[in-house]
Amino acid sequence: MNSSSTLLVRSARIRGPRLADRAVHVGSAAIAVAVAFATFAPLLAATWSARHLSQVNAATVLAPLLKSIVLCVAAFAITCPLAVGCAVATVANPGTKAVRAALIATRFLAAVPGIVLSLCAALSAAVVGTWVAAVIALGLVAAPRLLWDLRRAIYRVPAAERATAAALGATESAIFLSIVLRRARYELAAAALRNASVCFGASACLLLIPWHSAEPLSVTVVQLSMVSVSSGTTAIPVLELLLMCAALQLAASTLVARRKL
Amino acid sequence: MRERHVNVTSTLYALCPPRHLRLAGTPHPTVVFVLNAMLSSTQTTPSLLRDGRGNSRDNWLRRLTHASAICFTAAAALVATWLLIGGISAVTHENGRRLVGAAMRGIAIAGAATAIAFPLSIVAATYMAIYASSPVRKALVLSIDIGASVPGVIWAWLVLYELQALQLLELPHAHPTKVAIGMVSVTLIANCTRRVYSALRDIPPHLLENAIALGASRWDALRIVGFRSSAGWLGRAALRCLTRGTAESITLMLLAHVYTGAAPTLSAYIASSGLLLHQPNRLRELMPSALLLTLICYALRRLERDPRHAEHRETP
Repeated sequence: MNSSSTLLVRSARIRGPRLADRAVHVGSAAIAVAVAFATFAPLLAATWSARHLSQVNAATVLAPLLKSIVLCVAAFAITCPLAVGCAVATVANPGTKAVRAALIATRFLAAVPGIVLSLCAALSAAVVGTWVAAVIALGLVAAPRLLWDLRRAIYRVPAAERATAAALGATESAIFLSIVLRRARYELAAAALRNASVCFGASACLLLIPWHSAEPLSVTVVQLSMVSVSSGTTAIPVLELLLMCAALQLAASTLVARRKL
Repeated sequence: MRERHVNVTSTLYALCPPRHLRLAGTPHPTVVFVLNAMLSSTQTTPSLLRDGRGNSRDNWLRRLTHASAICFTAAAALVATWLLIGGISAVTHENGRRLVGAAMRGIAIAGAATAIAFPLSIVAATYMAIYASSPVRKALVLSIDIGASVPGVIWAWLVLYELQALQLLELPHAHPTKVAIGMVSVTLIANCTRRVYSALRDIPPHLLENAIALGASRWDALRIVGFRSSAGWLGRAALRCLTRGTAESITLMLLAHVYTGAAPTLSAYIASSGLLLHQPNRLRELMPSALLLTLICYALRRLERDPRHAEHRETP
């Protein structure tokens, strides 16, 4: 084999992987952009469909949104401290029976679909009232994911720091209050915000609760299902829901970015 | 005096850390940093040691955290008991064949939707994790995060609405199964991409860097090293998509007005029947469907568990 053919073989060897690499790069970029566009296109479509906002009574648009926010805040106010406590317990005392049971319970709750929780809420609404039932259902939807996110945030604090503090004689409460929660505060806040958006989105699951008032209690699927699929006015509550979720996710991402800085 | 004792101990620890810390790969600077942080900036630990409040705080913390854990357990036990009692007592009112048929349809539709959404997710996540520059990656991750946080039924409604508005879909004439698979795929894709992206980001960077340094292209490094090292996580992500797809087949209730005679999936059946009933006594008739749906989702989630990986990496 002369020198020119050796060079050709070498160049082919080099070109092969590079071409494949370039092809994968371009192809995957196209699909990634398509996926992102598929995420944003409905948002733009909802914005466009909501252009008749001025023709709609503001009260009918804002009231469900405000009720949704109240429901989510109430659900989060109950769930968040419980989730923080349970996350700390699972990290601090992972071997105890209560913690093991809580982990199993969390896995079970995470597997229960939203529509089933909605059905449970609808059945219990006659006993405890629609608002309480809705808050409990939302809390149960948000709780497992929030707990796992908090655990992950706590685990990001190196175990060696906790071990060293314990070896120095620091109490358990001091370790968690002054080291773990302090070091992981951005991750904890981001996890809470991210799950608040999930909780807000989950208000769409409350469709089975028999509301006694004429207007729906929240930005729910009731509005989607009770009207025709082709109705454009439904786009307004959908847009509200999307914007709320987007704002919460953006806030969470900003917090995480700040932590990295 | 106590502070002096702690300082001496901290110096000793900084100079010669215990064996378990060395085995854990903890470098000396970390230990020094922690000791400095504890002793100079926060001052919480020495003060707690000094005034003896630590024990009572510890007890309170333990009680509170255990109470939280018990609350979680009680909530799950309540839901499980309710489902079991309600489902078993109402099963006589339910047509068993219809339930099983709806369950099978739900899994089949979710499986087909996963088969469409998952490969697309792998490709998109590969670009985001390996090829994309930092600003592009941040923008894509944000859009995927937003998509994953919105319930699938909202996306499905928007897609249906837009396709009809653009006259690309004529609902009464379109095949119901194809429309169903398309709707569930749309609801899955953002969530799938997020999970696969997380799995790919967890690949140790030095593995890919070594492969590239040995002459492999980035695609080869990813194919040979990356995908193999995260195969378990990718499998889990696929199963998670299937589980979510089974639960998200609630989106098909949006088609209940159009295909009145079509047999729905379990969750769509609960949603559409519940909306029509809206009577607590008759809602109980849906409990067997809810129980069956929960059992299917729980069984699928149990399949996902991989004991080889650290527990804290799990996410519900």
